[in-house]
Amino acid sequence: MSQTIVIDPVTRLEGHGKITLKTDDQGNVQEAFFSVTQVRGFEKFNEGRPFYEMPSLMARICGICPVSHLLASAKACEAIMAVEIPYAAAQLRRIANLAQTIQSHALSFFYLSSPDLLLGMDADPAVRNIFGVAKAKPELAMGGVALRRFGQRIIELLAKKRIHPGWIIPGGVTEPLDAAKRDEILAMIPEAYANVRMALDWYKQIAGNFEKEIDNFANFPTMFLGLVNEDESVEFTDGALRLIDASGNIVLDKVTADQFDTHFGEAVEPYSYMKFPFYKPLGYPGGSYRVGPLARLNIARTMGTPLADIELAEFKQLAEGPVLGSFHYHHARLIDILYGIEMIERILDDKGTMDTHVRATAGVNRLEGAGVSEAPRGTLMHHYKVDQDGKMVWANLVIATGQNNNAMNRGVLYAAQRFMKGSKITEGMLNRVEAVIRTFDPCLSCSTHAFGQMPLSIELVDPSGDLIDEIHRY
Amino acid sequence: MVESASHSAPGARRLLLACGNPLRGDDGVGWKIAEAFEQETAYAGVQVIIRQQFTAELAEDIRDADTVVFVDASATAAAGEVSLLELSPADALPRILTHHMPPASLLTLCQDLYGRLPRRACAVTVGAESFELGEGLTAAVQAAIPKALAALREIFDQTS
Repeated sequence: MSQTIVIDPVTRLEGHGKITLKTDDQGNVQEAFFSVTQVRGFEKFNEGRPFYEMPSLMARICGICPVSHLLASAKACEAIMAVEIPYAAAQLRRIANLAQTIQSHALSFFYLSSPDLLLGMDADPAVRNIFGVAKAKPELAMGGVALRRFGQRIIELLAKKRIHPGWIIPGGVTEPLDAAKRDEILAMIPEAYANVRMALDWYKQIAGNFEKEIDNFANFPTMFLGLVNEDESVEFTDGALRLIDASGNIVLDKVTADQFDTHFGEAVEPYSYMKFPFYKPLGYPGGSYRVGPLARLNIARTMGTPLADIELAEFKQLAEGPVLGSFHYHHARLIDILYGIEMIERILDDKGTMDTHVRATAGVNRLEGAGVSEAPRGTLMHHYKVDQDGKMVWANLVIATGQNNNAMNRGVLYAAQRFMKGSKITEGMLNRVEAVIRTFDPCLSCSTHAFGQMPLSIELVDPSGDLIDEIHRY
Repeated sequence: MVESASHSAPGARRLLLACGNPLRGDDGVGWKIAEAFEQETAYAGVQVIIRQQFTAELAEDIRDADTVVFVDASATAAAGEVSLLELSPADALPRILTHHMPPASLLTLCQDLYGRLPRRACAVTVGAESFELGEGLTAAVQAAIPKALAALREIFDQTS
């Protein structure tokens, strides 16, 4: 008899999601749906508010990467103002964005994913968590704690708050960096290097233990999107968009935020509040693509920093052309961290970063503006329209996790077909299906603009729609 | 509303960790208590850290403390009731861990990571009446703050 399996909640993610698997009469999984079941309405309730409030309002979408929303939102506002922000402000924003990427990636890799990587996908879930890592390999857990603190402390030093700082504003930032804070950040850098080096070396040792997962976790051809600089180096804060195909050919290049709508659309499915962005010429779902650490490394020729470039060269040896397996997001995330530390050090060594002119001012000079940046999970786009008085009349947010939505759904289907056997859901099966999603490090709070914890459920449903088995983890 | 960490003089090993959400009514009582305690010059040697949630990174701060006091609202105690609870590392740990961690679990993590624990760990809680959206405390919870501060003074006097 055919069945439907529901995983609800999916664990160790940011937000709340549900997986539904439908089987045929022989018990083979035929369809998979990753659903995000809550909605928040950030694009709607801002209407009528002054546009300059948008960064602070929109950053409340998420407590993990508010800096990304602050940045994309401020850039959209600056497009409305038609201003160029001071050099020091741009540099300081880069530091904040990289610091946030480091702390977010540390949470994903060390807290959420390292239990699977260290203890195994079939380990007892009671110990397969950060406590289990702390017992089995304390230096790994300590490294994660320290890297997360490193990123959070930098944000706190720059912006006074680790979460939802009001420091990034339309036109720049509210305060320059003083020498004492710069020196405190610089003093933390050697330890940060040591921790990411330890994690990279360890990951490369154990990755070979996961050949099945590497082969089966969302390992398929897609396009990849992200920001790059003129010299084709990785960029998180400025630069322009590049889209490549699964063979590495450049499909789009030097696309600016205001051109995003020209090339990309958003599809909607009835089972989820999360939208499905796609490249318009190929339609939906054929035009689906991936973003985030894997995409960034695939689209860039160079990281632009020496240590990360060594790692990138090794990473690119994983495949001829783009690296397609989503398991490699873990590896890419660590390279992002290494790059972030190098770039922060470089920016702090630049005297221009310490300039005290950090804010440009202007009123409404355009009625529409868009801003793009790289959030930890990938490309983030804010697009606003205002009236003559600068009041918001329309907003659209294209979120990193949404852009990975189709790939996550396909990945869940592939993993379920590979690992789910029979009508009973075992812990190892459950965790592998969850772990596919975890490779993307989805943040469902902002991708659906939904509020909540990140538990998830799996349901097993037969062809007639009857629930056969279900599993819930809270 | 700014999360903060006051830094005591080197060598000070007394720590107050407060958490809560000041935008959810009485959930902010931990913040209010910690902010008031920070103003007490007689206890300038106590490091005060205020957060919206207790997260794993705090294990590093706990590692360096001889005495740690967690301050938070209680969802189960009567409104305005001040309680003192001695803490030890948790045996049963939460299975889902993303951003927040109970105090006893933080002690476990500290022990596992760094091989040490504070000599004393305890929690001072105030029973909340309302967690509805909005700033400000209910009258019963506001009135309990002096008693909570007195409890903190007593704890830290014993360890000074």
